[in-house]
Formats: sequence, structure tokens, C-alpha cells
Amino acid sequence: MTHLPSFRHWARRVAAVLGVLVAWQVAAQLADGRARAVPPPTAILQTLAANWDLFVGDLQYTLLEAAAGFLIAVVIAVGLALVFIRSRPAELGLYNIAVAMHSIPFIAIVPILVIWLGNGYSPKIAVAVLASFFPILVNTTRGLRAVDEQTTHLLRVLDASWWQVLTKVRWPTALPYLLTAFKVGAPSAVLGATIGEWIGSQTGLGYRILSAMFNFDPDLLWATMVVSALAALAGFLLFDLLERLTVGRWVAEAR
Amino acid sequence: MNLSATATIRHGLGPRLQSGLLKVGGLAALVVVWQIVTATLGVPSYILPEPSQLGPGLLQDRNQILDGLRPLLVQSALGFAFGNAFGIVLAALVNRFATVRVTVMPVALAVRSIPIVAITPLITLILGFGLKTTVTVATLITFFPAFINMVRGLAAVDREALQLFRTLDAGELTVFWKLRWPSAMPYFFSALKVTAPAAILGATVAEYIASNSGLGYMIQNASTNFQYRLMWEATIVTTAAVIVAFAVVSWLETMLVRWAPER
Amino acid sequence: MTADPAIDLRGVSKRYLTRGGEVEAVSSLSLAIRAGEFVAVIGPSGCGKSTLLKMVAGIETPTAGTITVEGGTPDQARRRRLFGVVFQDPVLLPWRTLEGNVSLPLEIVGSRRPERARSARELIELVGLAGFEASLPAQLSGGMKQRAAIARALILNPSILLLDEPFGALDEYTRNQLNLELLRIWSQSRVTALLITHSIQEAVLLADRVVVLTPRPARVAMEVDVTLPRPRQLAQLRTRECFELVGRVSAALYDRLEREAGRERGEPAAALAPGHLDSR
Repeated sequence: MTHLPSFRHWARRVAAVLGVLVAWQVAAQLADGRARAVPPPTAILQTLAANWDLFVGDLQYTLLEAAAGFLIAVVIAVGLALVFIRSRPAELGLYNIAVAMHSIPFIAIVPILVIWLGNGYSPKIAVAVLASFFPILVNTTRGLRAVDEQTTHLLRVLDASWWQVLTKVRWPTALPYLLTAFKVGAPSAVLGATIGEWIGSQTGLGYRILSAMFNFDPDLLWATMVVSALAALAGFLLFDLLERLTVGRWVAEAR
Repeated sequence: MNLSATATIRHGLGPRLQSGLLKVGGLAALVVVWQIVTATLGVPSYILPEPSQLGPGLLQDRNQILDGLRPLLVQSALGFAFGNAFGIVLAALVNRFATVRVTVMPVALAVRSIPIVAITPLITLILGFGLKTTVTVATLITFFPAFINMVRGLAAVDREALQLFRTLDAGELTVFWKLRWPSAMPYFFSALKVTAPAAILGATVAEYIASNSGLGYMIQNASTNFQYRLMWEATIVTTAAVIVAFAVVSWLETMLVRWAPER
Repeated sequence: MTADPAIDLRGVSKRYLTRGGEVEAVSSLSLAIRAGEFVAVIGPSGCGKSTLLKMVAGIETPTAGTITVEGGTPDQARRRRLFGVVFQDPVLLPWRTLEGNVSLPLEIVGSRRPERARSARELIELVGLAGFEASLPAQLSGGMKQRAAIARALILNPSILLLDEPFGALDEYTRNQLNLELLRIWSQSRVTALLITHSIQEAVLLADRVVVLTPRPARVAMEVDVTLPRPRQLAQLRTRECFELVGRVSAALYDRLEREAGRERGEPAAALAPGHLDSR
């Protein structure tokens, strides 16, 4: 029943994007090479097809870093959220540290991470962790708390243990929040890994992007951007699908 | 009598003071642990400088740091102002004119999820190195949340309140300023709490790869020249600027939209 | 059953610390409820009725005074699973089916499950929801959800039923329908029932005794014995006896308001409560 409007919604959005692409193509053709920094979409597609092997190689590095970073972020964030709901003083004490960590411009600490962790995978994974950690922490904490007062009272009257409250009520309540956070966090991890590759790296999509920029190779830069966007989108879609398959049934009506 | 006594004991110093102490205490404890670890283990200062040496270092390098902070703040502030102005005006147009809504919204919704920081290299390629790129990045980062939230806020008017205004024969302008604008303020401020820090972060990233001024550039330059103390100082000052921006906006929010229920 | 009351409140007070200072919600309130009695507590909104119920349930502790529930503290009663509770919201977990929600207390009690526990299916049938066992809460109407909440409250076979404005969010027709159901269910088990409500009619229809509370801080303003014969029917709401009872409760409930209104009109203010001269 909710499928029809959402389909129209998407159709309209796809139409809008197609419209922009067509206008872009026409404009680029009319400019006829005077705006070299903005190649027509067809040229980007050609570059994409011609360099496919190159991109697949880059993707392997970037996705590995992103996935590792995302998993670490999830473990830390969920663990910390459980500590937060267990102990208010711990939350007050630790939350600001998390905010401070989140406020560090992560590009600024890439050099520091390189000093600490060397030039391999680790600093990129660390950036992916930093990029995806915070929304997961915030949403998980909020979700675990989203149990309303009367439900809490009901469970108190039933003398439910902390663990029972967690497994039977808090965790299912938090699941939709968690999946929403994952939908934000997974693309952020891809983004973080890519930005981590901007500096002190010879591999990955981020390296490809910056070297294309410094070599003024617009076609390659745009094509790599498309690949990273698709990688980030894949992260989003993965958890979007998971959400539809699990909590989608009751969450739409519960909100 | 003893009623109030138990209450005082249970709440100790008073809940607000206590939570305030814990909030500050967490960060203070972090700094203390950091100091102890670096001092006792003899960690080289390029890996992790001692907090106690950061203060004197900052004092010594203050001119250099200020020379970097000034452009960073100017560029972020310009972008922040442009982004908010464009966002508000466009949102008002979207709210007022159905044709604008139908044409702009689908594009905006499709484009808004593009992470601006990630396309900084692209913007650099198009606009070249320097001020134009940094301000553009900060502008774009600010624009989308401001625009989207204002569209939502202006539309989030209670239907009955709207009907009340209609029965009073209020004009479009009155409805806008007396009803829509105030209703949108909580939405606008939740956007500001995201965009004020993000504008600075975006400008830093842009400076890092596409500028030769500002703290972002300074971090990049210092790290390639092995000036680790300067790199650490610039990083810490940038972080502090981000936190201050967030704090200021949050404070303004509590001052200006006190009436809004917590969302 | 012993002669001791099932629920006994003696000089119970409750103060809160809020940002604006200390607030007294309940002030030296005493009330005894016999085993098997149905008591309705009525009072102005925000007067501390719900606080009273939460203290009986052991969710909140009184600042002064004592509460005894079946010979023990409320906490002990809670651990003995003596309570069944229904709130204004049905509080159904949206990811569980009706049956899953009704049997939630059984899962929480786990292996410590009392022998007297009843089966979810039996209770679902009792509250008239047979056939909906596999439905999710989102598929049920407001009245059906509240029926489910009643079934869940009864599943551990409690000896005390705590009802906190259970039908307050429903329309009047559905509310009366559910009140009748509640009466039927209660008359079968004859548990002790404490009902918090803001509807005078509901209180008179259901209870053996109506306790009227004063505005904040809550004290007992008046107790009215409901002499209507049982089993009760809606038709009794239209009898002279019922009108009189409703009138008495209403007089106690609106006493202060009426006196204040009288003062506004310049009538003698002899009976004014001190400290309320500046109200309004």
C-alpha cells in the first residue's frame, strides 16, 4: 500500500536526475571544450568503461578499509551505547570525549594517523572508524532509550531484570534506530576510507581522485567520483534492504 | 524538615552541578591520563605531545596560528552566511510557489546526499586553488541542511493554526512572518547545529588540498615539513574552533527557541 | 482472607525535586483497601493520582509514611508478582504479535513462573480477541489494544489489579463497552482493584467505593460508598440512586472550584482554604 506513492516519488527523482544529466550533456556539447573541468556525462562513462580494471583494483583496497572501519565503529559504538544506558555518570563523562573526537576535522588527523600507524591500511581504517562511529553511537543510544515511560513502568511492575529489559524491549526498540544509523554510517565509512587515501597513499579510490586532481585529468577524476559514489550507495542500499527485510514490517506503523 | 534533608542527600551537590562536573571531568580526566602517559612513558612529542607543553608552545607560535586561524574563520563564515542565505531564500520560494517546489525539490533531494567534503577535489578542479574553492565548499555544506530543514520547518505549521489565520483574513506575508517563520526556527537551529561545525570542517579540508592559507593548509604544510609541534597545535585549534561554533549555536538555540519542545 | 486490608496507605506523602523547587504531589494520605474490593480514585488532573498508583506498585517510593500490600512492602509484592497493571496507553511492543504481547509477563518470569499463571490463549478469549492472536499491534484498534493490555495484566493471575486511567484515551462508547467487560472479568476473579480515573461516571459504575482527592497536593477529600447492586449494568447509570452518587462525588470534586467561583462573584468567602487567596 505504501509502495505506490514511494514508486512515484522515486520516478520523479530519477526523472529529475535524468533531466539534469541531459541538460549537462547538452551544455557540455555547446561549450565545446571551453569548460574542460566539466566533461559531458558520455565522456565520463567512456573513461569509466575504459579504466574498469583500474577501478576494480582501487575498489578492493577502499572497500576493505571501509568494511573494517565500519565493523570496528559498530562494535565500539554499540558497546559504548550499552555503557551509556547502564550508567548515567559514564555517559556524562564519556559523551563529551566522543563529541570532541567527532569534532576533530578528520583530514587534519590523517597526518597524525600516518605517524602513528604507518602507510598501510591502518590509518585509512582509522579514518573510516572516525567517520562512521559518531552517528551510530548517537542513534544507538537514542534507540536504546526510546522505550516510553509506561513500558518502563510495566516492566518494573513485572520485576524484569536489566538483561530482560535489554533483550526483550530495548534492543528491538533500538533496531530501527540502529539500521538508520548503519544507512548513514556505511557510506560514511566508504567516504572516510577514501579521504584517508588522499594522503600518504599509492592505492585506492582516494589516491586516484587526488592524483587525477593534481594532474588535471577531469575525465578520470569524474569517473573515479562516480565509482566512489556507487560504492557509498551500495553501503546504503545494503542496510536499506536489511531494514526492509527485518524491522520494516512494524516500524512504519509504530512511528 | 527531614524530608528535604533526604532529598538533598540523594541529589548530593544538586543534579545540574553534578552532571556539569561529570561532563567537564571526563575531558579533564582524558587530558590528565594523556599527560601522565606521555610524561612517564617518554613518548616522543611528534607522536603525542604532552598537554602541558601545548600551552607554552601555542603561546610561542601564536602569531603563526592566528595567521592560519583568521583565513579559516573568514572563509567558513562567508560560506556559512552564503549557504544559510541561499537556503532560506530558496526554501521560502519553494514554500510559496508550487512551480518552484515541483522543479527544485526532486533535484535538491537527489543532490543533497552528496557528501560535499568528498567532492572537494572536483570543486578544486573546476574553481581552481584558493578562496573560491574553500568558500564554495563551506557554502555547499551549509546550504543543503539549511534549505531542507527550512522547507520542512516552513511547512510544519499546525493546520488549525493556519485555518485560524485564514479566518482572521491574514495575508500571505502575515502568515509567513507570524506563523511559518517562527514554526521553522527549531528546524533551522537543528540545521545550524550541524552546519556551523561542518562549515569549518569543510573549509579545513578545502584548505588542506586546495589553498595556501588557513589552518587546513598549515596542518598539511607542517606535516610535510616535519614541524610536528605546529601540526598538533593547528589541529587542536581547529578542533577547538569547531567545538566553539557548535556551543555558540546551541546557546543561541536555547536562548531563541526556548518554547520548542525537545525533539 | 484476613481482616487486614489488602492495600494500606498510612500518612503517605510524596515530594519531588524539580527545577522550580520542591513540589508536594501527595500529602499525608491514608487509605485502606479491603481484599476483593474495587476502589476508584478520582481527582483533578495533575493532582498526584498516578503518583499514588506508582507508589502502590513500588515504582516510586513515598517520601514519608508507609504502604503495606498484602502484609509486605510494595517492592516485595512486586517480586511476588501480585500486581497486574493497565496504563492509559496499551504499551504493546510493536514487533510482537498479540499473543506474544499477552505472554510477555510469562517470559519475564521465566522458570520462576507461578503455577497459577494462565495461558495467553485463554485470556485472549476472555477479553474477546479470539482469532487475532497472530495480529500485530498496528493492525488492532485502540479498544482492541486496551483489551490486550487487560489480558496481559491478568496472565500471572494477580491478586491486585492496578488500573491507571485505562480507558482514558478511548471514545465514550468504547470506554463504556470496555468498562462492562472489565466488570465481567473482575466479577469472575474478584481481585482487589485500584482504579485511577477522571470520569465520575466510570468510577461510580465500576467501584465499591470512590475516593475523591483534593488538587495538588493530593489528600482524601471524601469517600463515597457506591451502594448500587451488582452485577452492574449501564442502565443503572440512569437510576436516581446513581444520579445522587454522581452528584455527591461531583460536589466533593468541584468543592474548591465552586467556592472560588463564589468568591469571584463577591459571595462570602468564609470557607476559603488558606493559601489559595491568590490563586486564579
